[in-house]
Amino acid sequence: MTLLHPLQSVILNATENLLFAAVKNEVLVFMSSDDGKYSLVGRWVDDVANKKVLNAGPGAKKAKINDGKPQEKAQEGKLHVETAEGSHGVQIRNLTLSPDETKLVLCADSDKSVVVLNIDLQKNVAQSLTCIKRQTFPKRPNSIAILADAQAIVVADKFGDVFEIPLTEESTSKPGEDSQPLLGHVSMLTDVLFCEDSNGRKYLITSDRDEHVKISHYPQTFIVDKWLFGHQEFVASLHIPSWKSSWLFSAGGDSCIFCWDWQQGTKLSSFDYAHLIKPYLTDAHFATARFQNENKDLIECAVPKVTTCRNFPFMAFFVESTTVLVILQVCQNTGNLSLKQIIELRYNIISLSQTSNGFIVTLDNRQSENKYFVQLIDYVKEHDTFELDEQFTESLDNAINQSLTDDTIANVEITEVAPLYGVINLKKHGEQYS
Amino acid sequence: RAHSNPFSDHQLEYPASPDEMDWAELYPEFQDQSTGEMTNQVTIADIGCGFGGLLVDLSPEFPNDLILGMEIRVQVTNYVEDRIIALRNNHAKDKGYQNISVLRGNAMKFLPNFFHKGQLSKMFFCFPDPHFKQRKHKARIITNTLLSEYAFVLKEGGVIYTITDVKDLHDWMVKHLEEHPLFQRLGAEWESKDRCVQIMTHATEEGKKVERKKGDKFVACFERLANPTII
Repeated sequence: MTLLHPLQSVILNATENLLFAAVKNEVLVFMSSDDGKYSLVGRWVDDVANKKVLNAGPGAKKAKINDGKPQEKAQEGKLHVETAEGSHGVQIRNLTLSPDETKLVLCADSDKSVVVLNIDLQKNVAQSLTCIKRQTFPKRPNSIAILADAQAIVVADKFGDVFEIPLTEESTSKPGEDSQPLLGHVSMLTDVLFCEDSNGRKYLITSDRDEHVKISHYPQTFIVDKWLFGHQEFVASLHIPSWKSSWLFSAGGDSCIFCWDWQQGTKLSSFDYAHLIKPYLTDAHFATARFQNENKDLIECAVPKVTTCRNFPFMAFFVESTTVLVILQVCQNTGNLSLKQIIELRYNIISLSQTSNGFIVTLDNRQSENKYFVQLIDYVKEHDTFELDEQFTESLDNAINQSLTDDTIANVEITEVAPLYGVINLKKHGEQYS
Repeated sequence: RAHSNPFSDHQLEYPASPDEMDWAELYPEFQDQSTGEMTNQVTIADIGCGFGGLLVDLSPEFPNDLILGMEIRVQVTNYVEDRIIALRNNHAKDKGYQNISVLRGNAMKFLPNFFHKGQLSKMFFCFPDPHFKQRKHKARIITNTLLSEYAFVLKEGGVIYTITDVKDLHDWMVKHLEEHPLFQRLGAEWESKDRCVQIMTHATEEGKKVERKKGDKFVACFERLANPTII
């Protein structure tokens, strides 16, 4: 049996009968029927990535360091040494559904582009997702947000710039060449959110590798509203809960999760997870040799993602290269965060996204013989606990195994797996290393 | 060294927020001994202050303003620090040069960590690194995205001063400042009457070097406009 590539990320539509998955350089859509069985209803392949893989050959592309000279990255047999710029720069990331769920927007690393797919599930598997727009950027897009009116996409890139492009129409100008960014940081951008305050004013919130969370007005993006200060390390993920639109969660390289009132510009609370995550850390969390201390006991952790449950005041996050999902209860009056539950999964978590009643994670199931790709974690009100939906996992595993047997992209050698752990690489180590 | 890459992760010290900045360390004479509070705050910033010539000449002109030089190069910062210490010692009797100070920092990244909204009344950009190559233009100190951050820390009516001996860079700075909705150019007449323009043109080491070489100096000053109605 060959290895089916782990799912980099998944999202569910609002009614939660459709699951969109990013697998290496393809997007798959699974639909559930009334009896809870899943079947593949859509597939789109990033052909640019395919060509790139063919042309590149093994080890053709070397990681670049600052001064532009190619340099072989030390491998040390550790997973998180790999970077997105390595020989696997073919990933699809940031799956985002338009509010009316007719379009799927994603970032393709292969040519640093944002791709808009039209969704028409009346058509057959090969034709239900069609590319209607592919916009390349001078620097890799790291995060996207769709504006409320669904006419435009905001794209935050690796070089610190935020561009706006129309969702469906052809862009009249090429970002970075003849169109100016809406706003920028002199730092790698890691996330962008579009939001509205209680007076109907619109904002963009951007986070970067230099601990900054910046709030700018929209469309008057030349007016900075405020900064949210408190992070001591890079910020990797931002999230505004659906049940409290004036609040914001953020996390990254700090050992804390932050809860803010972004409209007031105040920090409501923070939650330090260093102690509770300790039992779940492994050798993968020791700093790489280059950054290791004399005692060789320096541990480096990062949170790639924070999100909330749509219907209940719970938030969840995970630490990269661990098997646990940490769920916190959020006090809706004060924003105070307290531990609700730690869910231990079979394998390391790769990605996390929200559902109505809980959370959905994808797992690094390379050792599983093609099982346990995705785990749904639901809040069960009667028990007041979060529980694993094993039936969902089994049903989806069946659908994946049945429909991907002949999929030449999803069937990979272990060496062809795209990098699954990259967030810790955002950590700064000072100029003696740069 | 002559240049420093503003994008790299320098081992910099900067406060986590403006509230956490210890200004008393830089301007001890302006700390109220009974309360520990600062009596004045920094209102003038010289971004990329080089060897500190502008700071020194501005000091007696604005005795009630705290003036801060920011410089990314370590050795240059150390030099300016020593220079200010010497000046303060030599003028201990009349407490001269207590209102100027310098710190090593990357203003392009961390300016908002130091200053509150609308705190500054003047910002100077004197003879900045021209970054001639097209590819390096994002490293220039004046870009339309950075101007939004400068506008945040500048108060309404505050002024951005620019001077350079590189015509191409001058055109670039003027273009970006003119394009920015929160800045408006101040005319030649205003420039001719402004004391800071005179000082900036003649005080800095770079300015003197250009004078010796009989080179051109291009000046452009811009006023921070009020924010338009938020839509």
